[in-house]
Amino acid sequence: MGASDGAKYAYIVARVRAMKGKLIPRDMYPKFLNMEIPEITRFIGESEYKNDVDELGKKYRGTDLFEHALNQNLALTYRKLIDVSQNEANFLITEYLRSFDIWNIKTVLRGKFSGASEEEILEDVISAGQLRYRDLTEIVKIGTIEGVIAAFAKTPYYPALEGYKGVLADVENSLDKLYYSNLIKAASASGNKLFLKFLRTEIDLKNLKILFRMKRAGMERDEIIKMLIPGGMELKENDLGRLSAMSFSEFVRALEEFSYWKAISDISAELGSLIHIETRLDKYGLVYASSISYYYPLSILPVLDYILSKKIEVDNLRIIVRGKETNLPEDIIKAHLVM
Amino acid sequence: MLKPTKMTRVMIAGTKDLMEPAISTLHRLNVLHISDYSEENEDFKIGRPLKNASRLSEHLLSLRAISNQLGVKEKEPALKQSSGELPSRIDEKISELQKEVSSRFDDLRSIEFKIKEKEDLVSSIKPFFGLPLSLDDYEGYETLKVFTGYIDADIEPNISRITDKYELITGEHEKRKIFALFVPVAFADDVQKLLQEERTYVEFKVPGLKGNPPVLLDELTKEIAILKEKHASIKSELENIRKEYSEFIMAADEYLSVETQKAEAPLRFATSPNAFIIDGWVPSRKYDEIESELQKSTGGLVYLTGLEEEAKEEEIPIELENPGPAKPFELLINTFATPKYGEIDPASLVFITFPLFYAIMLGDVGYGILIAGIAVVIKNKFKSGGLNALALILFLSAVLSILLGVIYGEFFGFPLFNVEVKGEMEYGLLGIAGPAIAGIHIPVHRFESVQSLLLITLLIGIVHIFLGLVLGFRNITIEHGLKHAIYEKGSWMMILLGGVAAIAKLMPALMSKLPVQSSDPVFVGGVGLAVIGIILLIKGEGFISIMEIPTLLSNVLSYARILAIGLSSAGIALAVNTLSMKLFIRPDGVLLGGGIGLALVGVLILLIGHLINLLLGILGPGLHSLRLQYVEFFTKFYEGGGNKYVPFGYNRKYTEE
Amino acid sequence: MDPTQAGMVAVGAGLAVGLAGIGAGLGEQAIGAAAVGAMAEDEKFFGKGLLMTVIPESIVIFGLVVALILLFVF
Repeated sequence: MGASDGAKYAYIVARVRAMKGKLIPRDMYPKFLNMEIPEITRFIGESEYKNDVDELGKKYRGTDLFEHALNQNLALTYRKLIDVSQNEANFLITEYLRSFDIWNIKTVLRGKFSGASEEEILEDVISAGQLRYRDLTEIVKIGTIEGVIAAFAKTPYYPALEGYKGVLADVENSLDKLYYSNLIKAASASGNKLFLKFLRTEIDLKNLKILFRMKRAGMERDEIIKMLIPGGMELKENDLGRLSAMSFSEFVRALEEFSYWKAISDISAELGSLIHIETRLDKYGLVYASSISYYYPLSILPVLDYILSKKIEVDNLRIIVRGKETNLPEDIIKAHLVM
Repeated sequence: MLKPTKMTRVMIAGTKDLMEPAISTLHRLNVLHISDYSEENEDFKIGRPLKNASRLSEHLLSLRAISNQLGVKEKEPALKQSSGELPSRIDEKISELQKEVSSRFDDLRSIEFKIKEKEDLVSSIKPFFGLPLSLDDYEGYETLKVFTGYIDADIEPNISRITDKYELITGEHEKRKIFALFVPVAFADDVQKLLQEERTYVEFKVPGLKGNPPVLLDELTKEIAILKEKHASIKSELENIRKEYSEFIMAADEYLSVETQKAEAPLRFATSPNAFIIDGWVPSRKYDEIESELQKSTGGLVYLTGLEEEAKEEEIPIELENPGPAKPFELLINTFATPKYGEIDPASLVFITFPLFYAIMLGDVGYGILIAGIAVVIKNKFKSGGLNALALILFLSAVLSILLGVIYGEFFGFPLFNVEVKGEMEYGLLGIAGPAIAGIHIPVHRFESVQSLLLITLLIGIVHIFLGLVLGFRNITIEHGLKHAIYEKGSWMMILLGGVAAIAKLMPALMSKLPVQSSDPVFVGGVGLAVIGIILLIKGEGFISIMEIPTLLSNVLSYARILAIGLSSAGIALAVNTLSMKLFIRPDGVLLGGGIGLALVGVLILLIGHLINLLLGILGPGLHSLRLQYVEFFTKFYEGGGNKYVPFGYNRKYTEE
Repeated sequence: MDPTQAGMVAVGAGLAVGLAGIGAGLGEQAIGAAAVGAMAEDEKFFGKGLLMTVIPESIVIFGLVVALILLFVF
């Protein structure tokens, strides 16, 4: 039966809207800052994270429990989105969530590169993509980076990995590029313009972060261009080239012509601080996702908005707990939170 | 009634050493709705939890992990535990439990692992049954290489081409051919290649065991059985632990939750290095109680003040206040939206209209009695909460349905009284003609009086909508003043009344194809009133609001559902009855005329048909009656968006203070 | 009323209910899907979801009223 465009998304959108309603309210974060780690763990254990905290409570304690509960919950939540969606929504969600495959591959490679233990690596693995946790636990056991890369030979990510020549950053960068170019291809194939728009904005934000980081590190134009991801919405390829060549202050001034400027203009005095810039850009992405998802209520956008909001919730919680663990002052933790 | 409970804003301030006694007094009283402090500034910050909060949370985490492992389920407690003696043993009991439980689960896991190991061995031994060798024979050669596996093709000719120094033993296992091949190490690679080219070749490994396969299998099966027994006994031990500790776990969880709630209360306060301020609301009648209790527990040292100043309406917590019978209907109000503080709480109105509409729709003595029975069963099963309220609502509606059923003269769709339908006499179950009450002849047969019933339902609609507009007028007068109220609601009242008057005159004229009497004062007055209403509306809300006028018409017409749903319910009942009676139970007017078998089929049709209609009779009238409240009635006056009153406290179930 | 006329009235009444039913069904499909989705996450949406789902049923009621008027009033 030919369901109309709206009806197709009604189920999944109503569902993610209900899920979004159950995210931790923003006014809890200042309270978390005053709480100890067990209290925060207990609090999230009384919310949507209940199953994860109760179940992992027999295996882990303290921050380990917290981190594993966050990861497991994030992975299960996203997996649920894949399980309960159908047709186009399912296809787009699956493709979008491949970012976690990229993340996991990077995590394993980085872990192997720095000689981290299996347990340490697995602590950061979030199996929300197509690579299964069980497979990853096997791959983590492999000793060498080359061995790990060979283990990914049958995945679609191998083209980005096979060129590994001892520089991890290169592989990571080509993984990102591969992910986005595949995603743009998939979005174009499905003909979903809204998804594409969302994606291109995400690429812009990612490029801006890279630019700020590279500029701060004083990298050269060619090196920067190599890192940037093509396909952005406002920052076209020639813009990227132009911005990469500028000095830091010129670069900041040049940003005024883009709509992203309003996200960072009020902190232009302290643009040197990466934390502020990155949280601002993340916040911009969050607000953008939520506002366009209201313009197109029966589309893929509310789902993407939820995926983003959930990710940021987990990131915020992780920042708070890691900050507390290392006794960071509260205002520094706060500066890292995307709210 | 009609208004939410009156609230007083309370500020409680004191020095930090008084915080703990203040918290426990407030918690015990369970009346203060705390407004969380969020605007931090230089002097006042969000408070920090009490010192024991972290430890309490740790206990809760371990307790819940254990409870999750054991699979403890919530249930009604046999007796409440005293929270006086709980804390003294909670520490040691939790760590004792943890030890007992986690060591057993470790054992379980290692046993499961061992069983898996042995079972793998069993399945790897089985193929060797087909070969007449002991397991030792496959291993321990320096110069020989052994290949074992499944294969379909005859490989002997090919092997003999590589070497003639080989020994091939073949056999069969589960109808597949198996083989063991011994070749000198020198030829191993060649043979390996040869085998891999053979499509049907599946290798199986020789298990590292010694002895005869059947004997080994016997031993392994015995070992597995012992392990499984052990597994079961540990399981039953855990089951015993669960039974023994269930109550303790629930009580301890509750105790710790209560203490955590107290310990974390400062997260909702404003605190400076030495002082704290609690901002909140209490029902005005409870103010004196909270004041005297607080002063008692702190030696009169906290400062408490009831603020009269105007607060933002949205901030005032709402507790609905209605007399007992109307109380369950608060559920319907809260499902839609909690009212704002200044708004009318329509629960007591819905208390009248909801069951009334429901009853007019259902209107059947039989269904009414059954549904009332179901409602009583649900009410007794669920003593509190949403289902309990729903059952009470249903009960009330069902009782009214019985009454309407008498008026309609319907009992499961059968006529209750003797009645003349289309010139034919139908004999009712009571066998008498209906009485006449207040000039109305009972029964009012629904299918015979469609026209007048339709008019009645529309009239109900007009009255209901008008009532909504009156309430809206009152709400807006209070919130924004009389002028706004006239523009926004007064205009609609005029349009409604004027329109009704005009149409009432217009319709009969149209039906009888006579010219409308344009001098009729009712018609002229009606049109005039409606026009004034429209002008006011445009003045108040802009030209676009004309688009809303047809909505009013469809709102009124919507009440026709009261008749329509009723007729369809009665229609289904009638159809079921006619079908089973005329065709199966009394064919050609003779009871059991078609034999007992046919009559039983008829009874079955009767049962299933009425069961389905009963379910529809709960859902249909319920939802449509509710819809008329929400969509047609509430939209005329009700905004909602209030904040629910949640007092600081805990409803204990497993412990007592 | 001669039988042909009575028959036409009955057909008209049937069409009024039938076509209105199809319309309501089309309207309800998306609402129903959304209601089920919300309910799957949060049981509190049960009441609201059920209610939203019956909103388009008004159309059928109007159809039914027209049918009743055709059958009983004329």
